[in-house]
Amino acid sequence: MTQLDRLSVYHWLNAWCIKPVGGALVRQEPEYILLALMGSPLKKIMLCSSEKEIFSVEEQVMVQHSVIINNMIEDGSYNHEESKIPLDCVDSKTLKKVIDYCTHHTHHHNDNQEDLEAWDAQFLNVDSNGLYDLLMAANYLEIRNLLDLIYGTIKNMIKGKKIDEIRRIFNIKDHGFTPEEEEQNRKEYPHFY
Amino acid sequence: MIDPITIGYPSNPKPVNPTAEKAKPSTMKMDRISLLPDSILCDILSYLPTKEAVSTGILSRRWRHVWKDLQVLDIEDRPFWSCRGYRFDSYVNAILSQRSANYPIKKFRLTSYNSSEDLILTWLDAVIGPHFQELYLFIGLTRRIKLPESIFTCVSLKSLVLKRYSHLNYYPEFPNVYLPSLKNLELDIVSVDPSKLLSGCPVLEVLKLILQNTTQEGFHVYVPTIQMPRTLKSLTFEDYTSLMEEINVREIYTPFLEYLHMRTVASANSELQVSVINFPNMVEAHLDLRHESVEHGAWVPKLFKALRETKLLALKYETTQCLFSAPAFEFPEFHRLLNLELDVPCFNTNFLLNFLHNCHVLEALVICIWKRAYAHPVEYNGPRPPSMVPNCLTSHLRSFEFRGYQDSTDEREFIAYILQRGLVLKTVTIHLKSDFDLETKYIIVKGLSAIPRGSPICQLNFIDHNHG
Repeated sequence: MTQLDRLSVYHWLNAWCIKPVGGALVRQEPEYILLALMGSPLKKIMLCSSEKEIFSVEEQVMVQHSVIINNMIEDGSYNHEESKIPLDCVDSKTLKKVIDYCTHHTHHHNDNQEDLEAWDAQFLNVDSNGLYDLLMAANYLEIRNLLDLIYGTIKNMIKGKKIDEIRRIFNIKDHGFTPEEEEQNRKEYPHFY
Repeated sequence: MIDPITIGYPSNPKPVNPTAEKAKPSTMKMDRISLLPDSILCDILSYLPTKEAVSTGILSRRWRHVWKDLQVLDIEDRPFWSCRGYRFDSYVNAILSQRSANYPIKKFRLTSYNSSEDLILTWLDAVIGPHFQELYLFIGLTRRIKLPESIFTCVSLKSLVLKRYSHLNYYPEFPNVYLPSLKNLELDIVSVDPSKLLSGCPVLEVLKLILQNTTQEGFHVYVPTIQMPRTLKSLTFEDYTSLMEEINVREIYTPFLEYLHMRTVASANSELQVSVINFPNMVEAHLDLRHESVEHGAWVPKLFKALRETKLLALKYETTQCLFSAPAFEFPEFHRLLNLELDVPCFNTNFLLNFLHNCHVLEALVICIWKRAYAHPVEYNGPRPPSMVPNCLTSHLRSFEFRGYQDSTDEREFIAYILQRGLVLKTVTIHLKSDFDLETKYIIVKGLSAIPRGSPICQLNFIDHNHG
């Protein structure tokens, strides 16, 4: 049986509340129906990157973090049998990082604040291209805590800096102002120069 | 392939030089941040003080109008003090007039020492509306301000903070108030009865209320009764109004309360009556209750008992003193108490042991002996404690801290008792007073270190409070 087929069978069995337990098929109690409906930890979903690479991830993890994926699963538009969510805006490298973030935060949500913050700092230790890719992905998937984290990092690049520094950090080569306009800007925002 | 840098600058197309392209180093970075959509850039700017956010308008043409969609304004006048001429007022006016009308303000935070009352009112009128959610005002005016009544009937308002004894020009009470979305309220006010404001907030969860009392200008408002909103989960309450010859009633009937920080000061002539119900969800309670007449403090033991489900309890020494002198006082059982911080007026072993016998799962204990210039001895009238070892000592207490150690016999014996009976202790910390000389400190440390410890992992630390 391929992985895909096994998954389909599992979901079909789940839906009918019959679980394979040690080879035998056992009818489950209502609580198990509820568990299955709420998304048992074993349930996995498939995410497909823009490069057509498929990532398997626990449904619970993505549902907890991504509003978009949560909505898809809740309103039933994600069909477990078709089993993949296409994410054409997100490349494989970024998708892997996003999955890393969500998985860590789900499994480690009881850790103390300092440990989580240290992990986050390490997680964001990427080049600026990687940071922006993460930002776009977090925005598209509506992952609030990852967005806030990245916003915090970018805001620190702006806060307290002079205009030349910010232009250099963000590589703004051509500001597009005429010399008269630049002169006016200098007058109105002297503290910024 | 289109050179991405040219996108976004339609008025200034950059000519692409093919030979330069080949010579381009592979690590050259693009200005990707400017490619982000306005909504994301605006989100990022909302984390900055508004002054810096507005400044991004001159980063480049692309950034010119991004800040104008900001729905969060956070402005203070301090950065403008060093500028020649007071430009803060015109700056705020410019922001309010240039910003986009399509994106109503959701949060407004203003710190101003010098702006005129009229101007502040026009600014508030400009921001209050059906989408307005949070207001923070720190107005360092010497005169009074009358906030627009639209604030008190703003149905979308979730948070209202008026800092640093706001001299509000409502005498003696607020206008009609209806704030159906307000969850967070902070009021630090002088001479206004807050009752109408409190009763107009049906879903209030977090309240910080400071009632200052100044009769300097001849304004004294008698606030006879305050009823805390029933929905409260967190209450910080400081009441300095009980200084005249009056009776002040405070009712705290808040069954969902989890956090309580309370500080009251009452003179000998006045009477403060606080009535409470039980607080089954209490997590943290900090009490600093001072009054000059012990008879008027009869409600303190009742409050104490109502807090018996709390996980953390911190008592300042005048509060503890009430318990010392309360007639027929019996400790309630603190089933969930994990953290206890006790300031005591003087060291009394019986009191402490009685307390410990009623804290079955206590994990951390801090005792501080208050050092006062004029110490009148306080008697503890309670019963002798039972002779067996308190349960929390043998199986729960992990840390013990002793501040203001004065090296009396009672104190030494108590520490020895804890060290010997504390079978799961991890750390014991003794703070040595600064007026012990070096030799005395040495003797103390040596003596306490020699006491056999009941817990194999117990570490004894000494903190030396030196001057300089």
